Amino acid sequence: MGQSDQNDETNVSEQLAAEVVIVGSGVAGALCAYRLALAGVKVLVLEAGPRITRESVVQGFKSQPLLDLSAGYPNPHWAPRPDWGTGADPYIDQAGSTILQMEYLRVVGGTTWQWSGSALRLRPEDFGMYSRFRHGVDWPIAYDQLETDYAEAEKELGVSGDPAADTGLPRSTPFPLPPVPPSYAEKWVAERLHSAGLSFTARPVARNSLPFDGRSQCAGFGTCSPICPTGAQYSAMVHVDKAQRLGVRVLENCRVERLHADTSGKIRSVAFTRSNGSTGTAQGALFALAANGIETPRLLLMSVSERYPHGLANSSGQVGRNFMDHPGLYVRMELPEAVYPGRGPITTRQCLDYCQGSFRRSHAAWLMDTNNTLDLHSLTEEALSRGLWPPELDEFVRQRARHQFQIDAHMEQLPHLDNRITLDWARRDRAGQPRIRLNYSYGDYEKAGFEQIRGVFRSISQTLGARSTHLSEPFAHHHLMGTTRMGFDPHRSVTDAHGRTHDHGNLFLLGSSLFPTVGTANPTLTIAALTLRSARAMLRQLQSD
Amino acid sequence: MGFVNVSRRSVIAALIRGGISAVAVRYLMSTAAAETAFSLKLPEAGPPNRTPSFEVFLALSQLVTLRSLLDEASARRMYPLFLEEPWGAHHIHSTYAQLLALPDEADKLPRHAHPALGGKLSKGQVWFASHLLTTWYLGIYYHERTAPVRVAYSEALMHDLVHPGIPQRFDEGSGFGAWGNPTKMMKRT
Ligand SMILES: Cc1cc2nc3c(=O)[nH]c(=O)nc-3n(C[C@H](O)[C@H](O)[C@H](O)COP(=O)(O)OP(=O)(O)OC[C@H]3O[C@@H](n4cnc5c(N)ncnc54)[C@H](O)[C@@H]3O)c2cc1C
Repeated sequence: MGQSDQNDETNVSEQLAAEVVIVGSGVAGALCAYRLALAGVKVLVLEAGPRITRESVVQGFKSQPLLDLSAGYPNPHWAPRPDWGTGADPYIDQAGSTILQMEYLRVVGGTTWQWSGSALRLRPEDFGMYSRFRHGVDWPIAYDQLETDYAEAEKELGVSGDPAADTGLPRSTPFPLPPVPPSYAEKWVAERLHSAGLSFTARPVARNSLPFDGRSQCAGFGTCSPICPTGAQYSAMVHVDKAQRLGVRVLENCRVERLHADTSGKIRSVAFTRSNGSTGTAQGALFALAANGIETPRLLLMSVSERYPHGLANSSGQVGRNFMDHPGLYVRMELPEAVYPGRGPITTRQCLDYCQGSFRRSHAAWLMDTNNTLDLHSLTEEALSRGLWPPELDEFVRQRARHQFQIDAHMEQLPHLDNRITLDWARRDRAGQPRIRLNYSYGDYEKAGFEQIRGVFRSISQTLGARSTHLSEPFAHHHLMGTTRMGFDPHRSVTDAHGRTHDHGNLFLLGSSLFPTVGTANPTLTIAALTLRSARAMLRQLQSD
Repeated sequence: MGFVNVSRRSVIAALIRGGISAVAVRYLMSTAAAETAFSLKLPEAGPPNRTPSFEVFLALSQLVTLRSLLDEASARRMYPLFLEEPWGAHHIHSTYAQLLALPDEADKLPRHAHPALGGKLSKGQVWFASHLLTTWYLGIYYHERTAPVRVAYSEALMHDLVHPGIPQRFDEGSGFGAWGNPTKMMKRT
């Protein structure tokens, strides 16, 4: 078990204070800090990880023998993160029937350094899964109530999109930027699938189709994930920098270890440890946890005391539960014509045909997007493992490289109480904190969704006349959702509709841990929209206190 | 033996002496037609009980990859790694010596045959040659005695196969919207 509040307060070397203390500098924390600072609020951001530069990350990838999406990023002992590349310590212990190889970063700016930039809105139906389909729960807000925040979030992140392609979504404003044009391969595939009844349209992305907000136009490096080398794709550094210019203090290498509540249930301070081992506390009127869908519930669960034996904000017992991702499947095909993949941004086209419908009563909705990347390493490895030698080896790789194409599926997942994060107090991670344990598995709803995806992928491959087809096993999309869900009922949810915890009036939670259900849209635009909404609620609360 | 400037034809002749098939020769002619002269070093294998020189390692790499132009800095990063392997020095020497000693029987080798597959190398030598080939193509050195080591990035030979049609990851973009067109290099057979 954790130490008592009193013990924690004794060895304090540093005492900080601000009106609002935010934990985490990813898009949720940085955008919130920026919005509050615009209104003149004194904000302190505590960030576990170090500062990095784009150049150092690019160099990191080029000098690493590892191929995972985090290989070029730091993984310091004071702010450890999942690591599937070295296999040395995966950081998250998996206790469920499904192993989920999720990744996230612990650096100033958070995980949007390595995201792919897809910036979709949830659909109106996604907010009412229970009332419409008798699955999961309803959100405490409706699409209409979030629409203007979505519009604002699109401006903050700089989303390129085509309103005509975004069917079924009421919009008050056009996208701030025109759509990113498709690659030759995406056009080739979309045209042929159109005649088979599948509609591929522009995918909204936080990637500059024109110079925007001081950042350049996309130059087509194609490495959007794991890193955009030019910054044409949004990362939360945009808002870290803007917030700092407004006077926000962002303390890096400063890992928050627990929160302290007083007897009235108000949060008084957070305790942190610096990379050099020194400790401190930060006090504030309001606190916001924006540490992501794993680390936010973890912090709450670590903040145990006599009064809160199950951690803070956890009177409902929901903290850490209902963990959801968007499980992925892909189909990789060798097409009959050369389509020249591997050029242009990672994805520009999507198909929403399976996102919505009454079928959601029986199986999961999903969306498809085209994948422009060419995995030359795997292709070459395949040729080598077939025992090919030059010049046949060269011909094999050239030929396959010209003809290869991949389509990805992102599927929704229902909240399950048993899909959850817990802490293993008996075992410690490299920072000396109780290890994270994930229990995760798919239910029948998801399994039926996978079956449909496989069927559609097979017929796509037939329609395109693929010479060979590879269907993947389910994989993680690294969307960490549901673990501190919002809702009206304090017995079944952790926060209200503004992200304010039911149990502690001055503690807000930001990020995808708030999502009661997940639809098929990648989470970050919704994170940003909800953050804007929470920031307004925080401002109102500061003014009224 | 020092470096010599030789013509493409003489390099190919040298490679044929190493046992390379006619198909491979045609391939070499077509892919590097513009290249008229370059440095090639085919040093003596040297005595088997001596550590093979860097020049031998480089020449072996050229024969195994069928490339006359290999990045020397990458080769210098690979050389000590291969030497440190158990039997590494022995494999470098014996595989190279065997390739050099192959009789001039290119035409008798099966079509599509690489020298390493011409039945002239032992099992161990074929394994070693394919290990070397993997390292040059992927730019990553894999061996059970150590964690993988990045020895080349841009210079990994796999990039050559699709470049310049497909931009080099992290190093260059294709220019906004250019990705919408087919690319010339990729059209080449
Ligand atoms: C490879 C990949 C591709 C992705 N692609 C997309 C996509 O295309 N579209 C999309 O919508 N989403 C995508 N995502 C997900 C997206 O990156 C996340 O939804 C988003 O970054 C979450 O933002 P956040 O601010 O909530 O959390 P994060 O960005 O993870 O930031 C949390 C911050 O909190 C800090 N922190 C954690 N614990 C502590 C602590 N104890 N003390 C202090 N600080 C702490 C962390 O160091 C981190 O900086 C992708 C994710 C990955 C990994």
